[in-house]
Amino acid sequence: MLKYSFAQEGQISIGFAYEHEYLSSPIYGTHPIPNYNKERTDNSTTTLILNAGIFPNVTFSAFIPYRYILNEKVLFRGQNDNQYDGGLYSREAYGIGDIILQISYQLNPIKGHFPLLIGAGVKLANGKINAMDKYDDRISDNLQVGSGSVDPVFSLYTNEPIGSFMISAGAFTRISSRENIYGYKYGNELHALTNLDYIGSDLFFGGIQLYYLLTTRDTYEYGKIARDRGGKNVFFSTKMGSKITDEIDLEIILQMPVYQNLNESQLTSSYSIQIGTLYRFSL
Amino acid sequence: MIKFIPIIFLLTASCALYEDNDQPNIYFEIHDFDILELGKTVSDIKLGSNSQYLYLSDYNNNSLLKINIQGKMELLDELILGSHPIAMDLSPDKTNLAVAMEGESKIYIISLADFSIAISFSISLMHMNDIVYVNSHRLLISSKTDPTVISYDLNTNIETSQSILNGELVVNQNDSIAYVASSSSVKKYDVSNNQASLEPYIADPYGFSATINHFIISPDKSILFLCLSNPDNYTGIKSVYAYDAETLTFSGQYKVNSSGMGVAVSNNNRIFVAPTDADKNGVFVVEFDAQTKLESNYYLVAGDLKERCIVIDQNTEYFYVLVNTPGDNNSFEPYNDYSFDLQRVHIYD
Repeated sequence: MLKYSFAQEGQISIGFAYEHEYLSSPIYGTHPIPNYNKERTDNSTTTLILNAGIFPNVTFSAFIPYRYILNEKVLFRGQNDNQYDGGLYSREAYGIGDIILQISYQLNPIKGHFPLLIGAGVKLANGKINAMDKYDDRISDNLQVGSGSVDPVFSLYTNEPIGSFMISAGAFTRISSRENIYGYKYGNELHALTNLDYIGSDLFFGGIQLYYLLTTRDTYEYGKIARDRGGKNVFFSTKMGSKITDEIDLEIILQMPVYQNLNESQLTSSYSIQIGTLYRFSL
Repeated sequence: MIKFIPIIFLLTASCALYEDNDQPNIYFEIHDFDILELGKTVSDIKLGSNSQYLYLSDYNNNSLLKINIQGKMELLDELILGSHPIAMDLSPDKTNLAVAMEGESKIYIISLADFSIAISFSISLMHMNDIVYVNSHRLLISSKTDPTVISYDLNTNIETSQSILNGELVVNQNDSIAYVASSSSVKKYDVSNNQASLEPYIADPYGFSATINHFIISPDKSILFLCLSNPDNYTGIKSVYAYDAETLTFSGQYKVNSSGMGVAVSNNNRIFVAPTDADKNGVFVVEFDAQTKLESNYYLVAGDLKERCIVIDQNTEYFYVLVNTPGDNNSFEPYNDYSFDLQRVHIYD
């Protein structure tokens, strides 16, 4: 979303980004392990992106996600009190997730090269955190569409065209500020990415991306450390896009993990797919 | 340059935001499961001498399985027996295996040297339940429906009805003592003579009509371990009970939050309990410390566990359990469900 968060003065941009991942491959540390519960999670997010360049070098952005999460597993006997004999157990949550509001300022520290986009904002706590299962028990926090806490976010982004190519890099962080009402506190997140894109054609563009994600452990009430949360990930992505018109971009990203070192056992996805589009117009 | 120092300091300090300095208590780890896929409904499991082979009675397929457990586990042989083998016991010299049938009134003695039926003979009991060697030539056999246990002498081929209540059987061959876990309590019998006599020690009744899942004696013959469940209240029993083998008084209670499916005790007195129910994190075999009687280790296993079906090798290196993995029961074969696989689990040092 970093590259989508800038608009020139007097320009408005509206876009959508869709992301889907299918988590079904458990990893313990760096090693694959058996999926003994046959657990899997479908995680989809459609984000409405709004940017407004109101002042010179200043952009206001809003990211409004709609999330759908479906977790399924086959329970063992006695694993869930409400379903003693085991069998298929599903948990589902959907709705508008936490909205991110951000202000970005463009600096030009090296004249004409590597413009620096510095962003700061907040992630709101509007997403619902009380989705229930079919037995009216609240499902776990990491399957809820919201986090339940207002957190600061910061971002940094730069790019530079070199011939027919564009190199770009950025970082985004979310710092967890507090526990939600149920005592759960998400760990901090650091996203860093670098891109190499081909921009020589008026119609198509494409490229590759290296994406690093670092998350720290979540905590339960009174600071109890959560097992199976947090870790380091490196993803490699291939991208393909089209300039449908001068105002509209369409981009598809296929992302695959190349290195994962996760705390204890966590479900991972062998790939995820992202589709993004942006429409720019002037007031 | 000086004006960059605060920025560098801030960047360095902010790295602490992404460090997990506090670690959770790690009670269990997950490794690749070492599983031999069998797809069988196993009723009993015995470890052969030298921990080289496992013998499994395949209830649905009326057969006995011989599994190699040295190195990679593999099914070596299958021997067709009678209708629904239900229980087995190794002879004192570990050369023969006595197998009782639930579906017919017949006992099979298997020669382990060549894995063949040495002899078979009929007895008067129906719906047999358990079988044990009292000594090299005498067997005790119980049934689910006949009220009393019988003994069978392999030398004379004479069957004798005993005044022993039916239930799961355990024998201390050194002292010729038999223990019976019946549906109401644990009792102790002197079986040194042809006709067994009740010892004065009787454990207190459970207070309900129990189903006995597993009943064993520790290798040093001092403690009896009993896994029982209450069929009228599946969640009522949450522990495995231990009795002093001398006095039949309580010597421990090992809590696993559900009925015990099976229990095994190693030669160095490490106690492993296979519970009926899974924990929220999965199904665990729980190891208890014999001194403190508290949990010392948790071993994640691949599925629901089975009555009687846990054994430990002689060196306390591995234990073996039968597991039924959820989602693994999809089969086009009619009536083929609840099929179990054999899992080998490395015991923590």
